[in-house]
Amino acid sequence: MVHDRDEAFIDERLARISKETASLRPRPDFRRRVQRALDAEREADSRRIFVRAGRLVLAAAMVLAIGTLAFAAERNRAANEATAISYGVEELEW
Amino acid sequence: MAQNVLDPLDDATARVLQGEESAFDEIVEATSARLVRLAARLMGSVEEGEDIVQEAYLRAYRSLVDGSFDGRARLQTWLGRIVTNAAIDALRSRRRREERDVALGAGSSWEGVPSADGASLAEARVALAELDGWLGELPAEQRIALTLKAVEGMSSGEIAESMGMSEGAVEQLLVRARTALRKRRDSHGA
Repeated sequence: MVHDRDEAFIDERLARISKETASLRPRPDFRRRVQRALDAEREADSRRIFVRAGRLVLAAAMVLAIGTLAFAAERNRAANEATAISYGVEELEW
Repeated sequence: MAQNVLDPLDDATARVLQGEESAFDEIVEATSARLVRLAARLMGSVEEGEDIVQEAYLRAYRSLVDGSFDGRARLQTWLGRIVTNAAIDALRSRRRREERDVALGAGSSWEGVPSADGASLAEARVALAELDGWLGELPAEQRIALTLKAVEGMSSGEIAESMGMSEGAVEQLLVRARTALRKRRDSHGA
């Protein structure tokens, strides 16, 4: 009996609070605050895309530079070999 | 004749998923009143409720833009779930902060009930403060479950989905919450 009365008291109090808070709305500046936060997020997104693109370009440039260096080293080695051979030939002839 | 009319919220969600980011503003417009009311009731404060909803929107926006929203739940349900879980975390942090403040002998951080927002909003704020004071000592999950059930009018199944637990676990939380409130009433009455 007391238990039921307590249960009813809890339910009635919560139902009254539900009714009294039914008119709750965000404050007038809420949407503007959310908008600002979203704009900041979008700006950060753009920056992230820019930074990611920059990193890709940098990585491609490094690969290109390493390739160019390797190619140059190979050309240099081939040229040295050719020179050495030609010297050898000359020495033999000399 | 069958018509394939898309709900405006589903339409806005689909447009954001297709890359039209500005369509997210329509989602905010359509859902903010309900979500802020939910969060304010869960937190017992309009200000904290708004902070939670703002964070929920940012999380939802990121998930929609990076494609991690799987679309299994409807957007409104999903947003409600984000808000509910954020409220549980916020209430736990608040409890830890209050316990620390008590240990340090600091005063209460409650700043009173702001007024002058119009009669009905003032009444709502008073009711929120009452709710917060009454349910404030319950563990966060019990408080959230009871608020969703008795203030938001959700079914146990909906609460279970929102809190990511079984219906049985929700029922247990509700029983414990009611028992704690009854005991408190008895001890105050004694």
